[in-house]
Amino acid sequence: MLFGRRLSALLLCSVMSVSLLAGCQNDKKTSEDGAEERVKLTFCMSQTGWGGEAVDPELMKEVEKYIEEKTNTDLEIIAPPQSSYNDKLNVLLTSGEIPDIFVVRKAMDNIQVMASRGYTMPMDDLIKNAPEITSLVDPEYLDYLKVNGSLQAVPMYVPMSKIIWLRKDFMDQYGVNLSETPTTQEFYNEMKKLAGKGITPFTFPKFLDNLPFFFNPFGAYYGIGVDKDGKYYDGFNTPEAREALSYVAKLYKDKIWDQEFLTNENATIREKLFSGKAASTIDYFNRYIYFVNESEKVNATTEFVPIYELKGPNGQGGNLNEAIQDVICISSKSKHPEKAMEVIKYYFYSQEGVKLRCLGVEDKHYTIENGYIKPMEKALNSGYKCDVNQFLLYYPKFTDYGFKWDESTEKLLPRQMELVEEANKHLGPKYLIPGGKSDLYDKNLSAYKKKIDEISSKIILGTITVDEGYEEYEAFWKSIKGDQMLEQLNN
Amino acid sequence: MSRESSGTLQYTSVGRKVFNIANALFLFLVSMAVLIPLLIVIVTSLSPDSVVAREGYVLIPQGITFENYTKIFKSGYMSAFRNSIIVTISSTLVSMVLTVVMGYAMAQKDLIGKKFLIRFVVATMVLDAGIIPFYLVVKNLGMIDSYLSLIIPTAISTYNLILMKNYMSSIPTSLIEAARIDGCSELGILFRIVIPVSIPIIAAVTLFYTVSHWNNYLHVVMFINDSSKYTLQVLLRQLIFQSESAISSASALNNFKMAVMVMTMIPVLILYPFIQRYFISGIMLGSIKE
Repeated sequence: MLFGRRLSALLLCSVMSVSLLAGCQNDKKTSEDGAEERVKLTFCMSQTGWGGEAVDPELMKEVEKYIEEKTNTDLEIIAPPQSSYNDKLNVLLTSGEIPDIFVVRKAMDNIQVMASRGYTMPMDDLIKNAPEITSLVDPEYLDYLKVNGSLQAVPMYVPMSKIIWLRKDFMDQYGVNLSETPTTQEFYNEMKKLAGKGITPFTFPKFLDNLPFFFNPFGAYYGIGVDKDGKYYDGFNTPEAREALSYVAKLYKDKIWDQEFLTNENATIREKLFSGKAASTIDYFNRYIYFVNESEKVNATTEFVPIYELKGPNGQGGNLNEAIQDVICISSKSKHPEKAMEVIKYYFYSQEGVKLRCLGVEDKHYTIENGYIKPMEKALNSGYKCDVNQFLLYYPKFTDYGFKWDESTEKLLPRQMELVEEANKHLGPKYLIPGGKSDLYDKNLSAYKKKIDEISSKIILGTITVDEGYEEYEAFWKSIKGDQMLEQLNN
Repeated sequence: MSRESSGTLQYTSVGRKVFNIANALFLFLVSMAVLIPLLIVIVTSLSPDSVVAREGYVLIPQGITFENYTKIFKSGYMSAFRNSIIVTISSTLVSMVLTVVMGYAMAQKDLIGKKFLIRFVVATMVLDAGIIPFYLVVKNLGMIDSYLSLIIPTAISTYNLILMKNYMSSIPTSLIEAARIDGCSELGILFRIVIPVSIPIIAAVTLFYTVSHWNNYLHVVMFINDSSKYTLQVLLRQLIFQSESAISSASALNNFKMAVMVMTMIPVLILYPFIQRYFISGIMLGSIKE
């Protein structure tokens, strides 16, 4: 009897001890052979984000496998086409199938919405263990991505800015003499020399959010800005903004500005510039090598020179500062946020990951021959871009790629690097309106942006005068209770 | 004014002649409005980069290159093409079986609840809940990332079903009754009598379904996650719009885009001549009830 009791007590103690030890075990699951078990994660990013923009599914799988090996994860990649990315992401988010990792575009406008709807996981704790990110990203840019003081995403690209690119051949042919920071008057006078010569002096995309380049010289702000005292104000309804719009309308009226700009895609303005249909355009700072190479391909070779900013009557200026565009978020429902962060750190913030993203896998996407990189035929035929431009968009900086680019790129690269460095010295203003500060602002943001684009385009096209445009705008401002909205923002 | 032809005296007034000329001219202009863009697409797709960079779109050939077509064939096109073929054939088969059977049932005069059934079917043409509820239904049926999501939810098109039902309603009842008296079963009537006399509408509706499934883009993007299962339309759209991206370095020239468009047209262009002779009569007959 006594023996039976002792045996029961021993068994009970053993079970309790084992339970206790089991409770002390590491959270990480391990497989039978002791290796850490692979965690399953869904990762949503557009089809062009997987190795030099190649869209061949087999090549995309190679990149996926590589990331899985490096991060010990089992990834389910959702890669919708670029043009339908937002639609697909919205459907996934709304239906509750939030991918563990997902990319949000135009983050400075959209991240507030994503956070307020509970799609994103606050990353404040995760970022503390990510020196790979904090050592590279300026804290100011992380602040842009905070909602109610909590970090909701990390930037995918370095802060982006746009400058004017000019064809040197037309400048020489028509005696256009412009510095890298001309005044608005000099720009008008010199570009006027190209009007009526069978080329478009300056082509512009249909996206009017590029207008700040022409607002900055006049000290105007295209949207809700912040004044010297730190107060929010309506930047669009100021004498300076009227002056800026009058200036652009004059460029349009005098045939300096592309007469068909409202139909221009990004691809159209690029094609017009490198093929010599247009003498200048506005585009990202990393486009130098692209423009030179593309112009060579279509027998319209020339040098391209930058205009970093225009100086206004009072000496103000600044390029088109887009600050943060695309960002990476972690799902609020993710069961493995640490692992998701690990994937982000590897693919966007390590040299190896960025190389994988920009170039793909060696011997699958590209090969190295005699020290030079050479795209594989299969990749080349599926939209693969083996170019250095992409590298300039990411945070990790490369001094040695481990191979040489083609002769032309190697020759042009130092100049491109100079341009990047210089462009960053001319950043125009960019203000962030935190989400949750004003219900009216959160509600009317989209309508406000649409309205200022609509009125600007009408004024530029000359269908209404500046005064008429602002009459319409003021009526709109009242309809959205604009003054009340500013009060809310400032309180 | 008169002239003799085949032994019959025909009178052609000046007004008639003017009308004929104007008519011919009008039809010529309409044909050109269709053919010239098609020609521009084909010629541009065959033009070298230097010509396209200069001209934008090309109507008169200035050099021919098949480089863009070579690129497409080597771009994973064939696997996406295979996926498209699988989805299109299986979807069309399922759609046709269901449409024919349901069209036949709805064409029966003594079908119980026929009015309700027709109203119920027609209501789906007007009421559309949108993509998110649609996605949730497909997700709850466990079809996400499966070709079933492209086949089952859109298996029946209401428009095609009504065409089929109207056509089958126009088949003389006496024909069906005669078969019944001869001892033919209901399935026998469908397969031996109704389907053989409905070939024109079946051909027309098959073409409608084929084109619709072939061109399906939205559902593939929404319901398929694995890029190796993407159909041709998704791959080609990506190739076309790659250069539209703000940061992309893809070529912005039109010749490649035009070549992509030609490639998507080819299967339908091949199919159309075989079905064309049934096509017009099918539409006409389906729209008239006896």
